[in-house]
Amino acid sequence: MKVELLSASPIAQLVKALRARSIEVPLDMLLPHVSFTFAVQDISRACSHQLVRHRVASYSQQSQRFVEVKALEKHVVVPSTISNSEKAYVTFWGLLKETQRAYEDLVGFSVPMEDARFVLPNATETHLLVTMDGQELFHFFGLRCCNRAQWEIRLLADSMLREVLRVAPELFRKAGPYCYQRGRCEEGRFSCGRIKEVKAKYDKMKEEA
Amino acid sequence: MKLQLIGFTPHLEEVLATAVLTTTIGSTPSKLFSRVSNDPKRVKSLIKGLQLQHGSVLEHNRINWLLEASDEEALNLLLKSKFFNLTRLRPGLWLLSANLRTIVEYVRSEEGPMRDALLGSMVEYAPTMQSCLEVKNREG
Repeated sequence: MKVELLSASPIAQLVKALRARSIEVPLDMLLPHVSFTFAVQDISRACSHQLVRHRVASYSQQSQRFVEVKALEKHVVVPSTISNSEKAYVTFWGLLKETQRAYEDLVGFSVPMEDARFVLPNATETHLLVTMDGQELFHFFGLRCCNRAQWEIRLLADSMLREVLRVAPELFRKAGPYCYQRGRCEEGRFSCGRIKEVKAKYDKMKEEA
Repeated sequence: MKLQLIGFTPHLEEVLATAVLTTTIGSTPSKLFSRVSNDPKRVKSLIKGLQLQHGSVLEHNRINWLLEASDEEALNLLLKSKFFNLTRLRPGLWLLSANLRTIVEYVRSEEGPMRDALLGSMVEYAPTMQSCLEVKNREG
């Protein structure tokens, strides 16, 4: 997985323009007015399916209708629960080789890529651009930095948070999972119960930014 | 009504070109962005050839203005498109923001001083798109 912040609203410039009109506003007020565009690479389709559930955002994703998946075995995300188990690893790669053969055969039979892709697995890598405003990013981090989130999207959320902290540390000072933002866990009986550990993790991330 | 451009996400047209290519080319968006950033002719040609269908590639940006307008004028703007974002700073003064898709759709469907001001400020952040819209405007 690789995450790169391509473009971000010029927050200092906006604050300066407001001050020129003698207007002082809390930084939080700017959140819905600023946006951040990320290049996200080499995540699984399983991860991108979760990402696009965040609807107050814009996405441009590599199309499997127009881009042929070549050498599938080199372009898949393998969870550690599979790579760390010999039996699971053998099962996974056995199916993957069959899938690759079936996909290549279908394309060879002149089946359009938009139909041949029906056999591709959720593990297939994808690339996309995603743009979110500051308010939606806080919500995204609230849900997806949480220990209850699935590991790949949590890794993605942490990477995106590191990127925005680089350019706007003050604006995202309170960003992190909801327990970090609000001082209490909202997961009820599903809570991981590690709020202190989580707070230490995100405090450290802010210090390193 | 008076509009003052105060900021926008940088490299707006390069990011737009990257979004176009990301969907159809088997390369990574970081590489594509780096490539188009060194090739302004390619950026212009991609934007000029853009078919504005669902328009989502125009959404990877944010433009900010200060807007001097009455409550009614601000409400009219929001009624034209729910994708404008307004915050009242004090009576008669607003912080306005939108992405390029919202602006293009407004410019293409509306008439009047607000439309002209939005199109005029586009020369600062999306000059190629602005010239395309100006040409379509002249052609009627």
